[in-house]
Amino acid sequence: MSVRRTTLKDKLVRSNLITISGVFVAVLIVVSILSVLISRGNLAQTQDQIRSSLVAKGKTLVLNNSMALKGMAADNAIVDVRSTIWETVKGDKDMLYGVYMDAARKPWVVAEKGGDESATPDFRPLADTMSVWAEKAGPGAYKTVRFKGGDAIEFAAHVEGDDGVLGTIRYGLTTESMKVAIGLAQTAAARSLAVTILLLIVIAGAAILLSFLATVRQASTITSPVAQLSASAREIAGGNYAQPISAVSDDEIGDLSNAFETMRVTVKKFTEHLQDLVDEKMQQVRDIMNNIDQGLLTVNQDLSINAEYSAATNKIFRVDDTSKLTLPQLFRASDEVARSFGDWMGIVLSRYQVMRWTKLVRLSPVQDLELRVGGEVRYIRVNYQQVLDKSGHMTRVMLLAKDVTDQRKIEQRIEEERIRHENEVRTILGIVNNPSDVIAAFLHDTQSRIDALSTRCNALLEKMERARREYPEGEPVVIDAEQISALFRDFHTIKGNAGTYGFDVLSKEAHHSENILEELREPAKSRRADLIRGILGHIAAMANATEQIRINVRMLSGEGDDLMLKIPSSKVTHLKNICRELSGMVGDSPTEQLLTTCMQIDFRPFAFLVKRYAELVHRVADKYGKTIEFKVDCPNSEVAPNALENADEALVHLIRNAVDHGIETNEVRERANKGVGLVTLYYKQDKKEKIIRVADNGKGIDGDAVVARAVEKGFITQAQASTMSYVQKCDLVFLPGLSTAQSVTDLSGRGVGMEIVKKSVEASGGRISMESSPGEGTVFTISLPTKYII
Amino acid sequence: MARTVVVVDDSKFLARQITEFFVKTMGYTVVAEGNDGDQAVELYRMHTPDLITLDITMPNKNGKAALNEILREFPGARILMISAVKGSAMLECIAAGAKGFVEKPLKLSDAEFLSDFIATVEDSLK
Repeated sequence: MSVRRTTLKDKLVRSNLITISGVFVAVLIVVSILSVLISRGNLAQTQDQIRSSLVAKGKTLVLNNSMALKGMAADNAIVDVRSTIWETVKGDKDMLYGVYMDAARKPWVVAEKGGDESATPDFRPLADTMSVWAEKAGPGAYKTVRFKGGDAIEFAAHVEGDDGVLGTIRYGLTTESMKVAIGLAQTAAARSLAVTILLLIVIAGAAILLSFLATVRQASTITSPVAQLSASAREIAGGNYAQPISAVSDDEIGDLSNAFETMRVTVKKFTEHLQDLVDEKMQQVRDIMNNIDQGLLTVNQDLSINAEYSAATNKIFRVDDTSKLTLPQLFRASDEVARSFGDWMGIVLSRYQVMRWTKLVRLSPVQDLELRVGGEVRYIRVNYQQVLDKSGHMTRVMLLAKDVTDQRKIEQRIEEERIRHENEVRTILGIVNNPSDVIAAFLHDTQSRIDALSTRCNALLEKMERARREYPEGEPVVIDAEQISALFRDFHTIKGNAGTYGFDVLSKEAHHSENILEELREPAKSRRADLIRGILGHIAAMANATEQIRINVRMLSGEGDDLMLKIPSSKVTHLKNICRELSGMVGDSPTEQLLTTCMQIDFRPFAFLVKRYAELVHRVADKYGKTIEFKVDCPNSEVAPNALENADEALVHLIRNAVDHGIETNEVRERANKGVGLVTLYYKQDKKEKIIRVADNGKGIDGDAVVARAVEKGFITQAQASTMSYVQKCDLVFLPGLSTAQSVTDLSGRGVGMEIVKKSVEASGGRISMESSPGEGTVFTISLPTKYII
Repeated sequence: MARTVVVVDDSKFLARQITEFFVKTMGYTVVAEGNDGDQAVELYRMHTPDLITLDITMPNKNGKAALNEILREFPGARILMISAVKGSAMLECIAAGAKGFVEKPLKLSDAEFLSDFIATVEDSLK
């Protein structure tokens, strides 16, 4: 139901009209009353005038007659009196009657208009009230009187004789003409009043009409800008700030519209600014959503997904538009899980304030998701977060999803690897913890059983397949219980034995085979070739596992060339001695070979010999707080146990000096970005000589300092010094007496006298040389002749 | 006054462990131990404890049925589910009005598990 609204214009027009009409009606009433009053006054005046003229006429007549009748009355000329009066009565249209009575009120004549002139009045004195009044009335007195049903005025005057009153003349004049005149005047007055009022009404009507039109116009002038403004305001309220508001007039409404325009511009600017801000924020959110490599979405109470979600979500879940789905749909959940999700959401939203979020998350039907899409399995890690609104209420749940398929695959591979290693370790432990002959016997036994099992199973399979091929309709081959039991026994033995030694893979495979055999015992399944194929698969795996054990056995205890034996050294020495004697006696080529073999019988890896030097390096390095690695480099696979015998003193000195003085402190090396300090011991031996090198990657030798020391000591002259090369300068360190002092140590970078080193090497018939490069390090090379102990 | 607890679990060993946890770690008083759903309802009626723990898989009457029965009779009952049951059963128990849940196995020597157990018990008693 619509309510008719009264517009401002209507109101203005109405109120104006009421006011104007009111004023006009009031004016009309006042003017009308005034007109009536004036016309009434005019009428009364006219009536007075008419009456006065009648009275004046009557008076004149009476008075004139009284004069005229004086003589006649005095002479008692009744006839004359009579005729005069009759004449008078007849001669005036207004005259009704004329009477003359003598002093005794005896009528001489009573002349009535239209009456009988000849009739003689009765002479009895008149006694009526009028006659009495007339007798006493003064000259020209008059009095209204009723005459023959009409109004009349009687005028009376005494006729005076010389001796007093002779009689009284009386005339009656009708007022009818006066009344007619008055009626006429009244009619005229009424007419003029009516015309006046009519005119007023017409004028008033016209004025009201005019003022209505003027008011409507004026109201329009006032209200149309207001209407325009309110239309603009509605536009603004509706969010359209584009339309400018022009000034509609130059009055207050104009001011208002200007204010409105200012407001519109301000609101527009502000709105645009806000819109920019919102756009910017939204863009930021969208940027995050588009670039984050995780699935990110929010879920409503009804499990619908909101429109803002990360671009990665579609990719992770393999869908086109995540927000078109519900959460269970996105997860490809079953109806049951979908229902659980609904329950879960209900619990989450009703309990989030009393239960910890981690617990609520644990209740979710989906934690980690295995998504099967197009035959491929994707592992998706799902993480739930609560989304609180401004007032701290939770209305939505945020979901983070990450595709962890690759990670999961790596984990699985690592797990497989771990199991493999674990099995290998178990295998090795089994080998190590049991006597080698026992293991060898186990391997032999197992291998023969596996071979036999393989043969029998293959035969069975062949038989079954042939039967099917040749007699498709015939009775299928049934594996009888005895055969199964025979197979079972072998598997069981392998399983038991392998278990004893901890060869788990082998025993597990045997166990699986047992299970299949158990299945085969059931009559319904006793003819299934696929089960035999399954057993054959396990047999192959068992063969493989056995081979692995064998490889490990070979690796651990050696086999053939690699087999290591422990032989007491006394026996070796004895054997060598015998060989030596033998070679002296026989001296042929095979004996030479025997001798060489014998000489090398106790050879061992070079690394076995240098343990004490490694310990020396680490001990000295620890003392000075240096981080130094010791490295061994030897091209010979094995060396004689006494290979370093003659070089020991020199090596101790060289290695100690390298660690102590050659290699800088950690801080210095760090500043120079040189890395870890390294001392390398190189050893190479052939039939003629052994080469031993001690190298360090330290600071090298300070040639100038060595020279300065040599000059100071008087070994060389300043002149000689100035011509020496760096190599020559460095060689000075071997001069006897130069490097004994501690001070030289610090200058040269080499501590204890190098002469000791040189002497010890030379004592063994060897040589020593040195190469150094400032900042890069120093290498000492010792060469010694190879001594055969023959 | 110490809080009172009724512990219900069909494994007597686990019930003992749970009791020990409440007594030693929480300092509560375990007023009774039960081993099936019928006992759970009976013991609740008898003691009206501050808290009752229920396993879900139990003989005679399962945990969920016991939960519903206790809550019908005592709408304010505070019930804590302790179960290894996976899937929607736990969800249903919480929806039915259990205050909280703890998942088996009870790794009471695991610090993280223990702190979760304590927090869950405290939350359930709020």
